[in-house]
Amino acid sequence: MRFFSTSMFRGLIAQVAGTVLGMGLAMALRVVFGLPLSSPIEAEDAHIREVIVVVGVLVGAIAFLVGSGVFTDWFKWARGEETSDDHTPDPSKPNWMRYFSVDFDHKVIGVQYGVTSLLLLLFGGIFAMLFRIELSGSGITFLNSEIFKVLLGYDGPHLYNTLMSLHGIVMIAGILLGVGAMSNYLVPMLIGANDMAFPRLNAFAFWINVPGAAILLSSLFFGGFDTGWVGYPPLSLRAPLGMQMFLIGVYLVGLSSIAGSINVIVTTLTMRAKGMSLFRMPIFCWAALATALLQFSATQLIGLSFQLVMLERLMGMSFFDSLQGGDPVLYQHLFWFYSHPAVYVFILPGLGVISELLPVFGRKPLYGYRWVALSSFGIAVVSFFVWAHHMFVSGMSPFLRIPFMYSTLLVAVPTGVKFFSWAATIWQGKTIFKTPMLFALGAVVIFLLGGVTGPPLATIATDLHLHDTWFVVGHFHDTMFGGFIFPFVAAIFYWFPKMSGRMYNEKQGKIQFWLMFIGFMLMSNLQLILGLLGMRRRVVDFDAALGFDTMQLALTIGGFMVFFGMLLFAYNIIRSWTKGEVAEGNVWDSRSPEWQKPNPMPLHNYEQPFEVVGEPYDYGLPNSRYVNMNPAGGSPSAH
Amino acid sequence: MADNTESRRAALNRGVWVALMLAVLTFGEFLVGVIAPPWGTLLLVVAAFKAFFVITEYMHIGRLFSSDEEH
Amino acid sequence: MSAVESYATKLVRNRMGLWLFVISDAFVFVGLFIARMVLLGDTRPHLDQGLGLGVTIMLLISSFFMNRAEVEMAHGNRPAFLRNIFITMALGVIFLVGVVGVEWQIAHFGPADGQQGAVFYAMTGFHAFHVLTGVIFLFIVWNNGRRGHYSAEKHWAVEACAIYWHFVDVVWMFFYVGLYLLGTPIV
Repeated sequence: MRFFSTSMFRGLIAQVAGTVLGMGLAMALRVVFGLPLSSPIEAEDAHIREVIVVVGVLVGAIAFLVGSGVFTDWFKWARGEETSDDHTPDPSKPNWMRYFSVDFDHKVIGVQYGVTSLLLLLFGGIFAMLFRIELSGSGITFLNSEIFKVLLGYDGPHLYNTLMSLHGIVMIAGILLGVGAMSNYLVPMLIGANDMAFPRLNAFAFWINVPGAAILLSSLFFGGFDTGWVGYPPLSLRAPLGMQMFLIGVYLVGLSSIAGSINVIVTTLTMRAKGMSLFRMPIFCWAALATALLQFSATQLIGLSFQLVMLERLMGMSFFDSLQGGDPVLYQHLFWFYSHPAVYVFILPGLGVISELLPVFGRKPLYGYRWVALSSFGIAVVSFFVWAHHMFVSGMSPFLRIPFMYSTLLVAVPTGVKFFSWAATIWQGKTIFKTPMLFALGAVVIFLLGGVTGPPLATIATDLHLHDTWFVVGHFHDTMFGGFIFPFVAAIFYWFPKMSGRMYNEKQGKIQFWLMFIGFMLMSNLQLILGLLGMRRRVVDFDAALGFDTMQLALTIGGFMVFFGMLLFAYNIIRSWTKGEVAEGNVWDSRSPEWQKPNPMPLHNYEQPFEVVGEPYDYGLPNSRYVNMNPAGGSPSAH
Repeated sequence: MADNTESRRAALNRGVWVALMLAVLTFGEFLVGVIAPPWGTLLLVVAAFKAFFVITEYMHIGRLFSSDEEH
Repeated sequence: MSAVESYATKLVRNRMGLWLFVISDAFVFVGLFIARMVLLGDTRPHLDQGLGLGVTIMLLISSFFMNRAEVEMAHGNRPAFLRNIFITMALGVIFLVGVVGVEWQIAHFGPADGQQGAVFYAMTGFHAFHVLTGVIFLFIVWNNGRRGHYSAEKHWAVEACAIYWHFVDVVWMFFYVGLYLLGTPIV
């Protein structure tokens, strides 16, 4: 029963104990200060309960971190003790335990991020499937089932609202973790470093997600919340206790994002291999760097806006309630200042993966390397100046809408650079259609759909019509699947031999691709069409007379195809991890340094540092090399 | 740029000089803020000046960009 | 790359990491300041001017002593380092008492009293939390210094503590203007 000695188990026990302790502490403090513990007025009673539960949950989150041992080394530093920088694992413990324990190896942390990400995506998918069943026909039927009332204490429209909100935010948390997975696993390996710059901060950044995700999901059992993932006040000021769980959970995941991004920036800027100038970095590292710049700055604003909502709920401080002099539009500004750049956080690493994979499988140089590298930065910079395009109908000053329309349309320029590069890269290539390549190509097609549905939403005249319809839903799912889900799956397949030393099942991978691609096309195009026909988003029911029943049913079928595709994916990687064919050597015939090493990647990535001697993506050019793995005593490099 | 290569005395004197600047500027701010409230922009400019002194002289932001340090 | 990297290499990384954290943290305070401008505009909360100036002077002087502490450590002068860092810590505690212990008690409004209450308690609260963490950091550095840690060559913790403390000071420079000086007082 070694599981009981892992950080995961100890942390979760500590979190439960800490939550109880924190609630007790809050109650004790209330008694000391002469405040009541309950009230005959129901609203006041609920408020008192909320204060106690929130204190408990916060103490629980800290207790998790202490209990899991993330803070141990930092406590030692505070006491003036030295800690070892050598992270060689204890050989007496089985290897799987490393994945459930605090470990400073970036490869372990990357896999931890990835698995947690896939779990959250699974939860988000289950929520989606539940409300998709409801939406497959008019009239409220499925969500009124007795079982929900028994399990959760609520059902019907409020359950729909909760599921819809949780689907959004849990998917976003899952995507942020997936971004963390790719950055952590790949960046040190691709730039020739043996670990991240701050391994302990890296472990902290992962482990804080675990209590964060647990708290976020627990909102389902605290009465849910009905605001959608945006949590706009004043509705979020009046939502049930579940709202607080949402705010705290997202705040913790946001902290992880900030800590992780600082690590990525420092690692990329200071730990590159000899000869790897910025313009000889693998293109994914450019994307990860641009992503990290967005994360470490903008994320603070969503943290702030959520804390202000928490304070307003707990202490009645009137920031956003216009009845008491607050300003609800202020929240929207603070919120979107993060949440718009956030969508570029979600997609930039994915677009980096596409640019990384197309040359390998097309056997051709990446077209316009410099332009692609800088386009990531272009997107990152422009994304800071577009947030108010989410607020064209919010009641903000109308003259602000024009500049935000233009800045939003400007995003199409750097994104277009990427598209032209991808098209030119695969043009007349000797393409090898392996599963990762299929997913990369699928991502390009889907992201193109997301791209062309953007301008109608950015343009004020059309947005006034399309705002809050399913057209927005369709556009967003296009960008997320094209920019994250498909590239993420491609990346996992592509680097699977590096992680496990084995190959995934190619046939299952191809079935998964076609299931997901066709299912997604069905789903998202119907979302776009329904939106144009006037289907409102975030509503539990629609009038049968609208004639949407058939399309909604087909949409549900498409959604389930995507869901089953992801289940097949989970089966494929879990099975292949232990039973797959052993993958030896450079399975993709890649020029990248990590593929010159054995599979799985050795414990310390590069015992001997390598030297970069050429351009990264010159596939098919005779006598060109990217890295010299043995700069000291190796054969002279062929130039 | 202040760094460890300068003598202890010079470094300490620099600290005193910055503190005097901050004192004068803060007192000026206080007077302007209490006597002539509409001058909001000026106050923020003075605050930015103070922040600039602290960031360059006390926080040594220049060290961030110097690689060959005496350490 | 050797398994154990040199102190100088790590110092470069640590500095960059800390500065990134400081910039990131600054966004919170910028956000709060924007909230203040939106909610209060060209008015300001009705506060005790003398107390405001007093705590501001305390914090500015503490920055001066923090700088002295760091300079002394960089020249290996341990007793002076300890003396200065202790004064810094004491001034930080006085600031906290001034804001949380006095200003919060004598203010004419509570956190739930309109926008001025919300803005005032949020801005001072977020800042006071940073001062508190700074004081804890100072205590840790002082305590380790007392027990013979740090040298003229290796004292990153002292430098980090100084940067963080000065950052808290810089934030207050703007918050002092925003809370006490900008606009006309709400009566």
